[in-house]
Amino acid sequence: MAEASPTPLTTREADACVAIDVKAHQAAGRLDAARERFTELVDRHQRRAIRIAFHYLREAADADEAVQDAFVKSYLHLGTFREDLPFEVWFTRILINGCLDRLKARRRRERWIAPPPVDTMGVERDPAEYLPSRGPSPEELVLLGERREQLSVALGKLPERQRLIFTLSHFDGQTSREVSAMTGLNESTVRVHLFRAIRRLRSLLAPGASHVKSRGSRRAHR
Amino acid sequence: MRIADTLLRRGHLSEDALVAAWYSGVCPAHLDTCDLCTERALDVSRWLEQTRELGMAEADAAFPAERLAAQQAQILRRLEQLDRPSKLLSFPRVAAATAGHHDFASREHRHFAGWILAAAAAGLILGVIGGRLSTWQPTAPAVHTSAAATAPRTPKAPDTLRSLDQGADLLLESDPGQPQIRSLSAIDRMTPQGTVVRASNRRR
Repeated sequence: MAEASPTPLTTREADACVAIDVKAHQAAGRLDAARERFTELVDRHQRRAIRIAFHYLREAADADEAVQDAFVKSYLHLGTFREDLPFEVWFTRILINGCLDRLKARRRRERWIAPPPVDTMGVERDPAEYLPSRGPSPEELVLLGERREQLSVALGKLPERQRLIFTLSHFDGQTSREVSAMTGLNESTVRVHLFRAIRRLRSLLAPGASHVKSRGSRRAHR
Repeated sequence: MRIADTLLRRGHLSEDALVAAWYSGVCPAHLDTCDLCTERALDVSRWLEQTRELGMAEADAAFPAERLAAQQAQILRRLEQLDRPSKLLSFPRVAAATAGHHDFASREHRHFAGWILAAAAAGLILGVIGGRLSTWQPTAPAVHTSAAATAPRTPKAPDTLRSLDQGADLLLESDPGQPQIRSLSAIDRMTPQGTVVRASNRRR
């Protein structure tokens, strides 16, 4: 008689299991085992965390550090995590708070430090852009790069809150309820910000909107 | 359908409603009957899809798999550092006092160190003495005489020196405390006295 195979765990359940294990290992002083188990959580959430941080902060180096900090913080404070709530939401909240702190610090810094050098087109030049790359043809790359840059500039023109909500809803695929839990905003407020963000982006990226292409600082790919 | 759509758009759906429909995945009934709204819904949907793809591609291009792996390694390194108990470096004397420094090894160590110190002190003293001895020059008079030999001879000693010499000779010849040896008295008589020799030299 064949045994019924156990139903596969959902991401949320799997996260909760890992979190419980990590906590138990930490409490027992088996720190190597705790770290090893925690790697599963890093594996599962790293990609989406970096997307959120990258789109929110608009700077790769900052996003990198923000994600690292968020994982370290979540490991340190895993004791305060309640397994009845999704780890994803708890972790994203930590990440967003870290990103917000970085944005504030950046604003303070930019008040005193001169902006980075830009080329004649007003675009910040990145040495990595001059390196040879693999993949699609140069024409495709140019077109893709142009479209990405337009989107990047347009996203940069959104107010921070709209950008965050758009990032979480659109790039991360969260529902307005989940975004509400992550940001602490009202669900209807989340929806309003999302619609406003989309309207603004559509107007900025419309074929006739040349002002998006010409200006804006490009910080990505650093 | 919302009231605003009915009143302001003559029953057509707003863009927000189309966006909401795309996000929720629920197709409004109006789209089945209105070609214009269906067209608009497709346009919104295409735009949203493209934007999502572009955004994801941008983030993924900035963070390829290698960079993510490096980031993960960095995260684990940081966690390892946090888990490692920090070391406190205490002052040596305090550390020795707290460790109850009566164990055999530490005593041996101190004993050995004492011997090393004593040997070093003895070596220093010997070195200083040796140095002094090596710089002490018993040949100093020789140097003086050689200097005198090389110096040009003066034809006559000064008067003061000559009178001193004479005084010394007189003292030597008429020293009452000098032992009188009988066997040598004959030789003494035969030897001319210094004063006599000097007087004859002067006469000459």
